[in-house]
Amino acid sequence: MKTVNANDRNIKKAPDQNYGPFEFISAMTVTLMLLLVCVFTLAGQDREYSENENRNLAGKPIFSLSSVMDGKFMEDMDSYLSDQFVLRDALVRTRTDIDIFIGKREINGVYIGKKHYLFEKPSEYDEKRVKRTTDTMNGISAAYGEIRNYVAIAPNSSEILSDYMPSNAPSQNQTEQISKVYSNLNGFTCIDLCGPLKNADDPAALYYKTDHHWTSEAVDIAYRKIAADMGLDPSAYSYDNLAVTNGFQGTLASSSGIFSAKDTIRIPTCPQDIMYRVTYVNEGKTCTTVFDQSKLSEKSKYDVFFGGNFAQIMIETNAPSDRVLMVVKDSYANSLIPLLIPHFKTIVVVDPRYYTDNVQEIIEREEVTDILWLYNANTFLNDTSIYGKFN
Amino acid sequence: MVFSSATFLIIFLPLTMVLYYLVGVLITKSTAVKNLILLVASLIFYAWGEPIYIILMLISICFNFVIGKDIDQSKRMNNRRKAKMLFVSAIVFNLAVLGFFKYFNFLLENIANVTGAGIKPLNLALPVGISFYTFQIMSYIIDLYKGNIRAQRRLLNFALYVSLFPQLIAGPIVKYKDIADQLMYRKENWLTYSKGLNRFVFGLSKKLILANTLGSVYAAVQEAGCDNMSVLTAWIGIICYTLQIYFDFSGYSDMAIGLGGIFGFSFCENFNYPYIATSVTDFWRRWHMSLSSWFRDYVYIPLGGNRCAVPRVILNLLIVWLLTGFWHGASWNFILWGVYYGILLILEKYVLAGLIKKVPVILKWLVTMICVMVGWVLFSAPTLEVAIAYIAAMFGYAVSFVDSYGVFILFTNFALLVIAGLCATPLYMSLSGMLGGKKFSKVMLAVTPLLFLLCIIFMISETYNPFLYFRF
Repeated sequence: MKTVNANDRNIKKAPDQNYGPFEFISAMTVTLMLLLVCVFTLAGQDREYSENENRNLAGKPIFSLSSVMDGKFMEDMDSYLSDQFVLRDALVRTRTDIDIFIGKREINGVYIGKKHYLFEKPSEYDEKRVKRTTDTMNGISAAYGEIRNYVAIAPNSSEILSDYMPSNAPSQNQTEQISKVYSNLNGFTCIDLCGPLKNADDPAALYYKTDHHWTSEAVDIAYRKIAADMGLDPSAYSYDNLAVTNGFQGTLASSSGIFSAKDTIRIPTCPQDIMYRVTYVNEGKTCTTVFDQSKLSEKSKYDVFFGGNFAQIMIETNAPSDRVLMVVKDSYANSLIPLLIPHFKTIVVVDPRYYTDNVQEIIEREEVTDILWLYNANTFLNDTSIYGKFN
Repeated sequence: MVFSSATFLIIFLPLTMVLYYLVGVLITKSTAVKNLILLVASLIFYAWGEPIYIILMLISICFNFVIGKDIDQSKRMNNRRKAKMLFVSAIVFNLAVLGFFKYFNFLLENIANVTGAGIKPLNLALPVGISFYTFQIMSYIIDLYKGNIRAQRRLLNFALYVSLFPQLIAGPIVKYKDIADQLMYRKENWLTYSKGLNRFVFGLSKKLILANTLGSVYAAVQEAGCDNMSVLTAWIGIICYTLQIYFDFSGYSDMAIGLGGIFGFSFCENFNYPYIATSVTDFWRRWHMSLSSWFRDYVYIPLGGNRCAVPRVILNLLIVWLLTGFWHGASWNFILWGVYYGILLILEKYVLAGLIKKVPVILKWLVTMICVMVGWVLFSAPTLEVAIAYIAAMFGYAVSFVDSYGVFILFTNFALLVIAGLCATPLYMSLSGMLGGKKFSKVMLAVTPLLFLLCIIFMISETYNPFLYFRF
């Protein structure tokens, strides 16, 4: 065999005598690996569902002339083979271990912090987007002078646990961002949650390690501050937090593929003398609890609060109060609203990301007396769903 | 199909290897059978990614096979006019096919932009590998016409030359004259097999472990945008891309050469540590060598090469580099990138030659690398505006010199950059020399299987795709 190429002359090549028995053995090992992988993948039992990825895995692609012609068959084959690859989960875990070992601290948009804390990337402050949202909110407060307006924007873990963030990770000063939002608002009681959360005895307990939500410890502190600012009496209501699961691995664990830590979810007990009824308006479903136990056996265990996010939820109580509260919120509120139940006659929970109608209709129908806007900073700064729902 | 996909590694490669060695090498011992197995495999390989355009490739193969035979015959019968006519029509056909599928859209867009006419672009998808296989075919036709080679008599062998899956999609651009003998006769043995497979694994590692990881850093930098970029971030980004494109492309060539070896072929080398080059001229002797040698043999030398007066040589160089740039893609970025190198090479040849001799090697290397990196900005940016903004950021027109994001990606990718940087140098070869052949191969015994395992880990983990209600 001859190679005739002028360029070849300059190339340093490992001399051929290097290719002795050792290279032969390593090539045979690779050959064996190739064949084994082929056999195992084709002969192995297909898995239907991946717990880590929270999705159904691809099944055998369906062969047809049209699926071949438009290339779908080939794409499906690739996802089938990689989804059903032997030891897939272990390989993915090894990859994240390697990444972390060589120094990576950001995987799939998740910061890998110290002491097993994972962080969501903090949102940037987009003047235009925020202004559209705050203008909408100001419109409401101007239209209903008699309604008390409150706003509480919770900081995220990157703000409160900045010591646990990876060194030099780009961050945002959320305390500043939130007060900038507040300064845009007219006619609102702006509730500062950054201060009380920063002064907590054990800040590390305020956020889940593996999820982007706040824990019941943070909710406790936030509830007291909100209650004080809204003129409610938290001492009238004493409750305990009960651990319902200690195997929670949330969205940040799933996104990054790092499953090294587990979190505990706690839910508050309800006072004996308060009865309430929960109605999921669009779903036409009524029940007597704000907790959905079935979610504890699923992946997204934080959904134990209300079973997740819904467009509109009505909570009617026998609490000794005349006040009717509307909460406009994201998922941070799901774990806090249960604590507000003893203080209001009715609570209407609206999630603008799912609610498609005009909210004014609810305000007038239910004769709302108080509106609380309860968000976390990352979601609020990125929100585009509030604008347009209130005019 | 691409080499770094699950389908290729899990099904296509093992199956083709088993069939080839079992039926071709052990049972029938016939080159025709071996070639047939490889041809069928290659056509499936191509059809896997381009189920429609395979027809185009087959038409191209048949046309050139027939016309090639005719050119050969006319030459033998001393019918020069006929040979010339056939030759010209073959070249026109091949360039027309390439031009239509690769450049016609670009032409329409520019006509629309200049005249303001409401011409709708055709939006044809570019057939994978068309630039590579058209150039291979043209090497056959040109060498036939020049009388350097004889026509291939068997359609099977010619079809295999054009479609041979190891180098079909991304080179090296193997000239027909270099491989004609191997199509007719080649002997596989354990040596070529072991060398080939080990080389394949090295190439696969370059692609999956290094190139893809580096690529994600550059993608993140690009996504963050030039507006808030610090000087540090801009440099880290382009260093990552510089390494990525080398490992991506040279990894692909390694895989091609390795796969060729597995099936008994010996292809020309395509890269020779381009990033240790100490001048731009040197860089292009080491980067994508099969393309530069193609342009040298079939464009530059026929134009007169450097055996003309200086202005004509400069013109020749500019033509070659304009075409080289344009070959990489139908976009102004690539044209500019080609002309940029043409100008640099002319400067080196005629203006800076004296100066270069006096400058220390390390400085020459540094300046060369900076030129190359600026080139990669032109090459990789989605638009010219972005490229200019990026280059401006690299050279100080930025919001800050150092920012926390720059420091963050520097620290969290430091080990990766060091490893990748070392892998781009001939350190591996030096180690082999230092340790001595035998000791070195003992070390390598464990390295190749380990690299292959890592490749599998990286390939599979890239398909990790969690389903999330993330924002809620």
